[in-house]
Amino acid sequence: MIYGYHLIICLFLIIFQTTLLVGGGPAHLYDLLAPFVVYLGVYRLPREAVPVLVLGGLAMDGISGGVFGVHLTAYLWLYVGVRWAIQFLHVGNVILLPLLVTAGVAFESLVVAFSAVVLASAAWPVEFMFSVVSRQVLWGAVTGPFLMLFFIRGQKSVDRARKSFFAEKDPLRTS
Amino acid sequence: MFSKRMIFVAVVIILVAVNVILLTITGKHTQTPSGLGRGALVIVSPFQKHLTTFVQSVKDTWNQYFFLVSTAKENQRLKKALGQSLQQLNRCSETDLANDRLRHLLGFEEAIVRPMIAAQVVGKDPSPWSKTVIVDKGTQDGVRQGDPVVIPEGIAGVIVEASARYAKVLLLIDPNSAVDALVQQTRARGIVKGGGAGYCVFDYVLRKHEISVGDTVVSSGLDGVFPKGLRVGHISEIVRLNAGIFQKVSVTPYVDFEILEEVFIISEPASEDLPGEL
Repeated sequence: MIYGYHLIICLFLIIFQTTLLVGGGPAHLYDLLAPFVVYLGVYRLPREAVPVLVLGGLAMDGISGGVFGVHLTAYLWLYVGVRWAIQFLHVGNVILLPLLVTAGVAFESLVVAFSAVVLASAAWPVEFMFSVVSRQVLWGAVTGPFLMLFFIRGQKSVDRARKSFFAEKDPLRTS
Repeated sequence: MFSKRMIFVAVVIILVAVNVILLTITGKHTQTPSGLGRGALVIVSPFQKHLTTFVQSVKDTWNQYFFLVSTAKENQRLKKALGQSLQQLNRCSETDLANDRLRHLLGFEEAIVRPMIAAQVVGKDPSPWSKTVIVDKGTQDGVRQGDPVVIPEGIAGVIVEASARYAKVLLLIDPNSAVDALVQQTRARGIVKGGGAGYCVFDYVLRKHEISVGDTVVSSGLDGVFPKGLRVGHISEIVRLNAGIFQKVSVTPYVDFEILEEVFIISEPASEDLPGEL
């Protein structure tokens, strides 16, 4: 059930940012999957998170025109980084969690920008990099933590639904 | 001999290096490896299409029922523009007929008319670093990789990947795009490349060619992708450097890529069987 929830969220974010946001959203919005990866890093085990990260990364790379594999790379390294960071960071803290989300958005934006400026066959001018990444990080800092709350709320709802489903199926287990 | 920490750091460095090398290799190709991108198009694009259709129908309803006042004004303006266009069309028809007669007299071959496929834009790349869109026509409809994509205003881009029902279009403003072009008035030749942020650069235009701001740039047809004479944009800036044989020219495309909704894909003409072929 939790795999289904993650895949639905992943697909929803991809479709939302490729259809609705590109028409009327801010010019340099960050990748909405970055806060989702941070959420997976903080709350989900690798066996639950990695399949979703791989599928999400491949889907984003497939529909994007950038260097193939850059989103997959960014998501996997971001996940590894978050798992490493939570070993010594108390991420339940009201300040640290938004900071972690902002850092995640910054990392993802920098990796994609680096691929476009350095690795792409026709590289972008370097002068764009600072303005684009700074705007993305700013948007990430403002809206990322709210997205994170949305993912956490969603997860709690899924857990509740799962528990009530099993309780109805096997009443003896709950008693 | 080596501590665990050292081994860990070494493994991480090796993984990062391998990762960068792989990205460098894939970065040299605009097409995604082994159809992985096509898989993403197959899975994600149907949802994009339905959502886009829904949003479009809501927009249409809004425009039709709530903006009638501005529509009436626009209608008057368009009627005027239509009158002017009809006059221009009449002149063009006359020129076209004269052109046909003269080409016939000179023994020129008839230009091959290539079929056009109308397509709707169902998704756009969210990243500011790549300018691509996804359209709802694919190989089943006759779309192939390398087909040019246009709208009435001018060149929009080129197909870089196609699945059965959907295709990815690399827009003209992406740095990976290039069109062999010439200035309509002076016939100065060069290559229009995407500049990224909504404009293009016109490379390899010789200093000796006299060009001016506002001149129209059209495709030359020499790149084998875009037919000759398609509008690309107009010259917006010229910098003549003291050194070098080329001038630095910026081109503003005629196409507004922010509001791109419908496009035409110019497909390859059906290949004719040559005599003697099985």
